[in-house]
This record gives sequence, C-alpha cells and structure tokens, in this order.
Amino acid sequence: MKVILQYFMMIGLSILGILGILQLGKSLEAPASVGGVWSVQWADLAPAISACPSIAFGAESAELTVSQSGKELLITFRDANHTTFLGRLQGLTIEARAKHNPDLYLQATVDRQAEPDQLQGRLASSQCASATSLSGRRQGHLPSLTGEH
Amino acid sequence: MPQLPTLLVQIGVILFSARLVGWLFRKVHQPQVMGEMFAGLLLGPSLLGWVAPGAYAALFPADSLGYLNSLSQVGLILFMFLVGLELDPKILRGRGHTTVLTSHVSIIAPFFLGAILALYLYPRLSDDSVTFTHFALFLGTAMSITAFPVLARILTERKLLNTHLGTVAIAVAAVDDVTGWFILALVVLLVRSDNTSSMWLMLGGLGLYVLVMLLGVRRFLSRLEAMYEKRGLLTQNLMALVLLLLLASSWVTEELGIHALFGAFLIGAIMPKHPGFVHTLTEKLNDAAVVLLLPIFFAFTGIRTSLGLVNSAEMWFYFALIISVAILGKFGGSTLAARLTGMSWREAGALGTLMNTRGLMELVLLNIGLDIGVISPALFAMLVLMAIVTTFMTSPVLEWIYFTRLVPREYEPVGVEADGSATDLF
Repeated sequence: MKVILQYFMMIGLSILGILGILQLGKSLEAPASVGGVWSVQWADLAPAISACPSIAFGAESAELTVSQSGKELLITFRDANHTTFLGRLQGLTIEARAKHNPDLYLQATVDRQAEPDQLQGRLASSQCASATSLSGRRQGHLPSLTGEH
Repeated sequence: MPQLPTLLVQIGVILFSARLVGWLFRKVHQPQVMGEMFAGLLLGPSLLGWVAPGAYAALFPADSLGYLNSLSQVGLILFMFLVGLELDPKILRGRGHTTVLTSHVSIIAPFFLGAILALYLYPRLSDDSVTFTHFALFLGTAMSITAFPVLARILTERKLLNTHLGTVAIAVAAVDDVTGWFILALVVLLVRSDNTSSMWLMLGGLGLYVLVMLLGVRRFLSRLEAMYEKRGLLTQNLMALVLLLLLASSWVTEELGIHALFGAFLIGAIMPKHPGFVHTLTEKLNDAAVVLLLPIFFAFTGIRTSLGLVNSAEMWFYFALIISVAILGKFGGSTLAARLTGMSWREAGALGTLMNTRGLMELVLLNIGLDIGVISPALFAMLVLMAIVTTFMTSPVLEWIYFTRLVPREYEPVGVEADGSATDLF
C-alpha cells in the first residue's frame, strides 16, 4: 500500500502536473517564424557599392539564411564574403546590423499573408547616402546541416 | 576542392583531436568520451571557427558537411545498436521496487521541471512554427535523459559496478534509457505527423513494428545465437546477417517517420544476451563505431553548435536556468526517490549524481531535436553545453559525495557478475 501511495504521489501527480502545464502553455505566443532560407533580389545596388566598398554583393540576387532563436536573428548572405548580420525581430520587422561592419544595416518587414512568405526592406549604410531596396521570398523552413541554418 | 581528399583530412583531424583531448581528459579523471565530446566542440565555430575562421572554412566547407553527416549517422546507428545490445533484462531481477520507482521518478521529475521551464523559454527561444506542446515535451525529454554507456564506464573505472549502488544505478539507467527513447520516439512522431490521422497511422505502424520485432524477429535472432553456439564463432555470413537486420530495422523506423536510431536501438535491445555472442558482436563493431565514427558525430555536433549565439547576459541567464533545472530535476529527483526506497543519503546522493550524467545520449537527442526543428540553434547550443557540464561534473561530485575509498568497507558486493561487454562502450 505504501509503495502504491509513493508511486502515486511522485509519478501520478507529476503526470497530472505536466498535463496541466501543456494546457496552460497553449495560450502562450512565440515570436513569428522567419527562420529558414530566403531568396532575395535587390535594386540600385551599384551606387551603394561605389559609395560603400564594404558591400561586396556581386549579383542582383542571392540567398540568405535566417537562423532564428526567439527574437534573436543571425542572417547570413551567401555572397563571396558570407556577410553576416545580427539582429532582432520586432513583431514582423527585422532590424539587423552587419557583424563586422556595424555601419551596414538591414531593415525588412515580413508579409506572412503571402504564399510563400514575402520580405520587403532595405540595405543601407550609415556612411552612405544611398540605400538598396530588397525583396525576397521564403524558400523553406528546413534547418541546414549547421546549427546556423 | 575535391570531396574525397577533404573528407580524409577531416576524418584525420577529427580522430587525432578526439584521441588527444580524450587522453588529456583521462589525465584529470574524466571518461575518454567526455574529452571526445569536448574535442568536437573545439573543432566547431565556437573555437576553431572563431580563432581561425580561414582554417575552419577550408577544413569544413559547407558543401562537404553532407558526407560528414552521413558518416556520423552510420556511426550512431552502430552505436545505438551496441547500446541496445548491452541492455540485459537480467540486471532488473530482484530490484523491482527500488529500480522502478527511482527510475520513473528520475525521468518524471526533470521532465516536469523541464515542462515548467518551457513556459518561460517558449516565448523567448522558440518561434510560432513550433507548438508549445512539442517544445515542452522535447525540453522535458532533454532534461530526463541519462547516458547509460558513460554511466557504466564511470562505475567500472571507480570499481563500483559490483556494489549495491552500482547494480541499482545500472538497472535504473537501463530502465531510463528504454523509457527515454520511447518518449522521444513519441515526441518525434507527434512533431512529424501533419495531422491527427497521419499521427494515428504512424502510431499504428510503430505498434506493428514493435510487435513484429518482439514476436517474430526475436525468435529468429535466437536461432542466430544457436548457430553461434553450435559453431563457436561468429562467421562473416552471420555477421553480415546481423548487420542486414540492423539496417532493415533502422530503415523501417526512419520510413515510419520516427528515426533510424530507434530501430537500431530496438534490435540491439532484443538481441539474445548470451555473454559470448554479445561480447563477440561488440568486439567486432566497437572500434569502428566508437573509435572512428563517433568522434565524427561529436565533431559534427560541434560544427552545429555555435556558442556565439549565447552572446548576452539574457542568454546566459537562460543557460543558468536550464542547467539549474537539469541538475535539480535529475539529481534531486533520483536522490529523493532512492532515499524513499531505503538507501542512505550518501548512496542516494551518489545515485542522483550518476543519473545526472547525460553525455553523448543527450547529444544524440539534441541533434534529432535540431533536425526536426523543434529547438532553435541558440537553445541547441545551451543544451549541448548543459550536457557537457553535467557529464563533466559527475566524477568530481561522485568523489565528493560518495568517498569512493570507503566503498569496499561499507558495501558488500551483491553478487552480480560484472559484464565486461557492458563496459566496452567507453
């Protein structure tokens, strides 16, 4: 009898507690998902490049990967330099600065009503007058082989 | 750069680092596996990629990681088979009440605390592509896991395997292992099923698979054992047959949507436990799996672990919470349950310390979590760090709590044979 009571107190009550927590957690809201691979295009890049030599995107389109941990974002362009931005998500707006060049910043808004998800924003440098507008489409959520998506 | 030379250099560097760091860790009374796990972390972006980004990019170019991943998965399949193989139901005999209660509490307590922690971490470290239920179930499982092979190794090294503590710890860890993997299989199944009907289909498939394995394949395996006993050796044909069954079982569970590793573990667990058969099989597979392929898995885990993501006071606070909950749940829960079943406080504390060893089994689980997208990269990095810290602390804390030198005087061996095969894995 003592054994059954011990078992119920320690196991049974814990299971009931876990079920309660799962029910309670259903009302929680996590940040919007923006992680994964995005295909982006940009315009008016040439003036930005001439004014800001630190931007080294050669083509007019590229893939960028967004690694998301809650609101924290790590954004990597698949350009020659693997330019990386660190940023945060506020609602559906991404604000990020280049890891090795904080003058360079990225601001974009995600439209999750579109199918697939779309992104509109700009890439600019506080040292340059010009900015580059960019737009993109989400290609997938799948995590890549590295932890950085 | 051509792929094969890259791969060969990668394997060489990984193997050398694993042996070197493993040797250094052994010098400070840590298990070899602890050093190998740490070596993997050093080869990733957290150290090599940070100190020498050029060398890191040349050694591990992104397009070469697929090959490394495939090799590490094959290594894990072999390893999980060996882990299943060393689980012997005999170790549970005569220890029913203590083992079952302690084991179940050592799972449910950290699981419960992990679920509470999920309430706090979900809005902060997850996103809305993951449901709270999946997140909480996975975090609970991650807190509950025990590394049976590392625990067996520590008990052997400390000459505790034949003591009351050692036999109870082995039995509790065995039950933990089976229960933990079963819970994880259910979590993976829940996450991967798109809707309720596909979930029931997958559950039905899983149930059918387990029945076939227990009722059909097990009998067939007994015949293999009889063939081994008759001939007195494990022929290459017999070995090939065992490997084919292992691959088939892994393939079925992967196709069912759970994970190949569950199939590997289950077929190992239902293998006949004739000591000679188990020992020969382990001997043949051990070096390839443990010496060559597992360090690749550790390195691959290290490549996926970016400690740079834990880059603010806020993130370190989350990590502190995770490690506190992990230790409180596993160590506290196991200690309390062991005490309630009649162990002395010192023995109960030692058992709690041993159960808190998560080791590489936690890394296996975390990689599955990252693969199915239920945990974020930053949470993955924190949990990897937690696995390393909880494994590292086992030996010194055990020394402190249990005073190993007093063991032979205080506790008589209980007459259970020390199974050499159980200690061959690390």
